[in-house]
Amino acid sequence: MAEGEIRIGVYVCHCGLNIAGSVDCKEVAKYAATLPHVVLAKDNRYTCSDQGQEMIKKDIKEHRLNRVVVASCSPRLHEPTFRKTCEDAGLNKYLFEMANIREQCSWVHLYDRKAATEKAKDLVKMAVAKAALLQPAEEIEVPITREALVIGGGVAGIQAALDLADTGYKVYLVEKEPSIGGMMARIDKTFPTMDCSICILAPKMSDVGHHPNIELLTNSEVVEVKGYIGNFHVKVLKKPRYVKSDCTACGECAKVCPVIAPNEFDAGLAIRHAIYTPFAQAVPSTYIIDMNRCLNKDGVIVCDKCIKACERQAIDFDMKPETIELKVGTIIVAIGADVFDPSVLPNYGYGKYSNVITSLEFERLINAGGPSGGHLIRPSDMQIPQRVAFIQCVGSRSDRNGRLYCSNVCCMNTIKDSLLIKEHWPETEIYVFYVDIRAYGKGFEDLYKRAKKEGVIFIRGLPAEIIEDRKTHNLWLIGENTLQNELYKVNVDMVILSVGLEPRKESEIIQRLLTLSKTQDGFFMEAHPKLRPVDAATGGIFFAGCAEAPKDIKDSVTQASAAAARAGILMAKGKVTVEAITPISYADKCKACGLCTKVCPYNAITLNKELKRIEVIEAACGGCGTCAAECPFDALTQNHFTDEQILAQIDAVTEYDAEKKIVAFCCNWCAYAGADFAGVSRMQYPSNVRIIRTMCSGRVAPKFIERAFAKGAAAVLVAGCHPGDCHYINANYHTKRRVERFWEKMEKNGLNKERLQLLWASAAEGERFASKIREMQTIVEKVSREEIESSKKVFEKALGGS
Amino acid sequence: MSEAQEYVPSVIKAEELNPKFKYEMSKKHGAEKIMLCFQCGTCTADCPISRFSDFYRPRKIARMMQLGLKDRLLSDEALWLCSSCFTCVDHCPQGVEIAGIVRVLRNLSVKENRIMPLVYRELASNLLKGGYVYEIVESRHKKRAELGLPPLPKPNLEEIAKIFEITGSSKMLENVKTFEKVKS
Repeated sequence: MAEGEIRIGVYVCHCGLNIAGSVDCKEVAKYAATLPHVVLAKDNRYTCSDQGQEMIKKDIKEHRLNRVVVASCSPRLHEPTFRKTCEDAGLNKYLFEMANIREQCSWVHLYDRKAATEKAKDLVKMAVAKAALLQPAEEIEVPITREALVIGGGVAGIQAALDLADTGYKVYLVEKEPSIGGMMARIDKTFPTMDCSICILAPKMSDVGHHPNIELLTNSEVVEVKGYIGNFHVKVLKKPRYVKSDCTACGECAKVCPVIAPNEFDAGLAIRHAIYTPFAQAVPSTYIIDMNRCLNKDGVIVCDKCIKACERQAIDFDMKPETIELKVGTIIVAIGADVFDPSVLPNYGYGKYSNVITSLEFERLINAGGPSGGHLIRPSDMQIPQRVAFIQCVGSRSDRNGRLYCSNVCCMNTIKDSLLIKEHWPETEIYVFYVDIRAYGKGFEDLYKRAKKEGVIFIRGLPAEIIEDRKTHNLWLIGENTLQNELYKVNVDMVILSVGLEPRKESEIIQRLLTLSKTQDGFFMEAHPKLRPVDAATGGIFFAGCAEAPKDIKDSVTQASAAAARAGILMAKGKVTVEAITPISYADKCKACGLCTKVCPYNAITLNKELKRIEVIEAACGGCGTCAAECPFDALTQNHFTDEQILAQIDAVTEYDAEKKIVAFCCNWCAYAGADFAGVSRMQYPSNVRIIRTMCSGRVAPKFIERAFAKGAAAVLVAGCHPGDCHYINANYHTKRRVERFWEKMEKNGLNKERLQLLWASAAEGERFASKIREMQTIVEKVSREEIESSKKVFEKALGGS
Repeated sequence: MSEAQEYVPSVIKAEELNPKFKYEMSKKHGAEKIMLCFQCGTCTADCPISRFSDFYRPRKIARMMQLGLKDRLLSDEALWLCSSCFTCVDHCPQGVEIAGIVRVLRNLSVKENRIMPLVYRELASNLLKGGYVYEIVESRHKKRAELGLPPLPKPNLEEIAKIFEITGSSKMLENVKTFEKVKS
């Protein structure tokens, strides 16, 4: 820390009339000048302008300022700007603090100038109190290994791997199936261009197989991931193929294999042998033996037909599973999606009526390389159907049967499928039963129009049920044509259920291994839905394809290239800086209890049992501060959000009129952003709330709440992201636990627990935040003097040691 | 020309729409999710009444509520065709309780003295007279005794009458217009 006297400069910004319209900025600046350590306080029209910034730089030099406070907009907007200003003037950027008097003051108290001005003074006082305790900090640099791991070998994984490999990075592509290709390899044609799917994918697959920078690991699964951004240590389990890479894929072995099994690639509509290749274009083309089917078990050879048939002697029953250890700098998650299983819907009879099939089964039936050689035949009698119905939204847009979201691809897939039928058998009657047709992409509407032109009949209204004619196996569809307000009863030969997409079952394993977050729909959550759409919240990890949300081939490829570019940026730099908001531990106070290691969402803290102390891996730390809140011995705190700084802010709030005030702790990503959004939307709420920003609600230690009550605050609000949406994976669950325990404590001591409120509000839920404050205002009004006094007494102890 | 004059097109006029109606209704138990209906028609498709009626369409009732066509809804006899089998509730992909919505609308219809099938008045008078909605004949009591079932509890007619008075049900039942049969 800079030795000697603390010299703070305060700048109160008018922001034109945005702030000055409802806050008396001159008076706020005058007040700021009276605060301890403040050597100068100014107000000006636009502090963020070049002149404004130049003035700060000049003052830092002329007045030897060693702390700067700007009272203006949200730090989420201009903190980086002013931090840079300070750095330019030679002041460490962690010696800068901001008071949010626009989004959280002038804009939400437009019509009460006096109250808004008083609140602005308080906010400046809080910022000054924190600023006096700020410490300079250096950001550490972490080197990044210039190798990448791509999990999943569908079209997204293939594209990401090729892009990275072409850039010059070594890529490991891990695929759990025997061949790469994923879902796209199984589809007949792509929309809206009607290209042959495998024809455009196969060259890419073969590029992956031959690329000198790509190491392809098929039939393999990621089983362990340790480390952090730039330095991941990954273990991959490579299961044996029992066929060596000498295999030329001549297929003689499969011809003699006596065992048959359903072919997974053809959705079980065709058969394969125990030794097989999933499909003609498979990469690698090496055959594989399915040990669950093969007659030879545990090294006991009872059938050697394939061994004898193989000229190259490539078959090796002694192959063992291998664990491969990799060290990579970045990881791209491209694990794709599963298709919805409609057998849970009794009214559609899938699995019971042979002529009800899914859209994926249809793809295999219409594909020239499929089980029927491209003839669309119905399963019951192998005849070409005359009348076909498609049912949309099977497993999508429903909170009962399947998933609430729209699966994105099924409308266009059905339109494409209907055209494929028309192409081969133009006389076929085709009915599409839908709720809404979503033809939103480039060329989609054209394709939709073409289908209508070809005579495909679109009927708005889903059938309630399908009834099978037992003799003919034809199907009756009964429902309402909602556009005509009439019921329909349609007889068809075959029904295709347009099934939706859902998160992979294995996605939970990947989530756990990589400590990722998921959105409510079960897909992986991006770091920011608009501005960082392919980044995971965990550093160094990126998403591509359906792992993040259902999407079509084009979007998957686009996202894969984006993910590759994002990973490439990190690896090109070769190092990454970590924001200095990591934990500080005091070895003298630490009892090595290990509580902090248990709450850390990133496993960034380890317990050294021998030395009886904890070790922090700063590069892995996300900066939530949950560990600091958990420590019962005050042995851990968070850089830039230290206990002393936060307590100083609380004390500043509660110095005067505490019994009328609400102390609110808001997490940077959701609740604080939500409060900002309330400001941007000019939602008005009571002015007695004072917001203290923490990175995560998990930083809010019970002692902070105790301190607020001990100082006589009327009410306390702890606000964070919705459970499951936490930007620090799961840190806000600890918030919930701590608040619940605090409520119990309040009840036990005869205090009204309503005075402590917990709120989950997203960055878009400004109104939710505003109405919470309004609701709390009624609580504040009811709190009596006696109640304030008794809570002061109960939490008396919290007053010590600030 | 004369034909054209006689023809009255079924037009929804802007002034008929009450944009606040859906908010009022969504506060009532059973109709909370009305705003979520996206008109897929699953309710009508499932409805056993719709299969035998040319004009009873639960989907349409939900749409009319969203649009705020209050007068049309409350004066529509079709509202009383629902048999409350709850199939629509079971199958709605958005969790909208159509049968609940119908109940809410029926209550409102009676409360605002619109219409009600005559039979309800008869049921109410049964309740007031004998304590049961249906008249229980003497042979039924005997049969129960023969089968060893406990006797039916004796209703407290005074209390029932009181409930009718306090809740205002008696007045409502008197004032509401009745009809005998849904016109098709």
